[in-house]
Amino acid sequence: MKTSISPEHIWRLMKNNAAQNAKQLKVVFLLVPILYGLHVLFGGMEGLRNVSESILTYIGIVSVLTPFGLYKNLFHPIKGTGYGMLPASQEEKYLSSFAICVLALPLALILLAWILSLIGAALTGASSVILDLPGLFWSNRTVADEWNFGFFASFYWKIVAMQSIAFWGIYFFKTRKAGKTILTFCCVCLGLATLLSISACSFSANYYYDGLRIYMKDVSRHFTIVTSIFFDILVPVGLWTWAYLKMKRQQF
Amino acid sequence: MIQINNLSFQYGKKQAVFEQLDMEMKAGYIYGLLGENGVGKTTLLRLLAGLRFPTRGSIRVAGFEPAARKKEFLSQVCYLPDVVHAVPLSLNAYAAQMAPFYPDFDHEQFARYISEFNINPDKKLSQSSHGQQKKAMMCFALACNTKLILLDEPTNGMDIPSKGIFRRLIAQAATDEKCFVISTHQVRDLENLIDPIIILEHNQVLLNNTVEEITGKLWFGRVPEKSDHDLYREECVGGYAIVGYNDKGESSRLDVEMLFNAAIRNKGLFKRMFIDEIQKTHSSFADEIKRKLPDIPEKL
Repeated sequence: MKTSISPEHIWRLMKNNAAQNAKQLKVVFLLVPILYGLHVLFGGMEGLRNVSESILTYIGIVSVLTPFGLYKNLFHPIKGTGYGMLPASQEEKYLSSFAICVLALPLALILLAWILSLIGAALTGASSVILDLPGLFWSNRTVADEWNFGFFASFYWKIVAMQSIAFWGIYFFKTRKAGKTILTFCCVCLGLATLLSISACSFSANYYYDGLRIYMKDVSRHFTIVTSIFFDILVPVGLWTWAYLKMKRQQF
Repeated sequence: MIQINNLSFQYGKKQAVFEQLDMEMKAGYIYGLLGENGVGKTTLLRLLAGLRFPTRGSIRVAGFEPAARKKEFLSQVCYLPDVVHAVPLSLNAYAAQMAPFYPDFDHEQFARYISEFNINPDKKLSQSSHGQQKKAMMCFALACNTKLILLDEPTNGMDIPSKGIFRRLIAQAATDEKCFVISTHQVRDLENLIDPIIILEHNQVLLNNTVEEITGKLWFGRVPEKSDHDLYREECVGGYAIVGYNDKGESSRLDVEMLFNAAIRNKGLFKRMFIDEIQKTHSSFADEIKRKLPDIPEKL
């Protein structure tokens, strides 16, 4: 399958999208220093130490919801026509949206937060307030006491993994993307939770009466590893792929 | 330029818009696409632009399949819808963003069109009136110099002087390599511009002919008395304005509105007269060649 991808076109598409959503992006980026300032003004030194947690939570929420804001008109029969007719290949349009949502925006926000933390440290002399930048891209936390997923357990990957649901939603639904995606997500969670609860109850009930508690612990350890791989790696990659395939069949 | 073969399209499972539609449009012409409300004029334009996919059949535009949405195809097509989505950018900023995607975009032409329409290129499009937005996007569309320009109700919202400017700019922009397809109800605005004329009816084409072919078969004019042979007539001062058969081979000035009304009231007749006749002529010509030159093999 021949595809046509020009990095120049992708960059232009990104600039085009940023220009058309300039107001929203300014608000998103402006809230970071405002949040920082409020913590410092009203929280003092303690506020300065804890501000990173607040900003990272804000970055997580904003990054996950970004696709709905930037691409709310994608495939809209009136508002989306201009973008649909833009002379760029489907792959270029997809990659430009991927670059903005998954790469540019979260990284830019993290960088801004880090710079603010450096300024805070420089002003107060307290080096403990500097945001641990590498730590946001690599986690030393292990899963089930043995597996270290590193990058795939990091803060950055967690938010893009969560964001992949929104990213899938903007390509899957033509209208009311946010509402339909959230509804779908809730229904899937409910279904999965019900299924897992039933499985866990029946499984543990059998093994309670048989008394094999050590085996249950082993099963739950494997289950944790499998679900981590599934939800943290396979699901985001699968949703990104599904979004790409859906994009090719969407009509305006 | 455009070949439509056996095209079928429907919205959902029940609302069929086209069934086995065949049509051809050539470069170097300004096609007027007419039809009653809901026959599928806008849908046809969106199918040609690749925004919608056929249910069955095929569409080829400049050798491309629109539904594939390749960038080589999109850079040769400009589609201006009836309702323009105004972005929060000025026209100059919009052009600066979009022009690099169109390899034949002409900045001098763009500046000239802006001047002709008397638009403020530094004012945000989202803060402009509907008519100004339409004119602004028209300037951009014409300056792209794409091979196919699809316009859906282009004069909707335009003031009277702007309509004249629009007609002049379209006539100047038309070349042998370009094809314009203009869907409109405002036939009076574009009467002297569009040639050939396509009249769509539900699931069929009633007419896809040049003005010369139409006036060769039909006569448009005024008569003092009405006749049973009139295909369509309207009362006017001194008698009746009619559309009738051109039995005497006289030349007359095409009245597009009268033509449309006549076509809608005589659908079967128009289809037989213009569409079926053309197909018969084409097949007769091929048969004639075969009869006169039997020794020429099928494949050379």
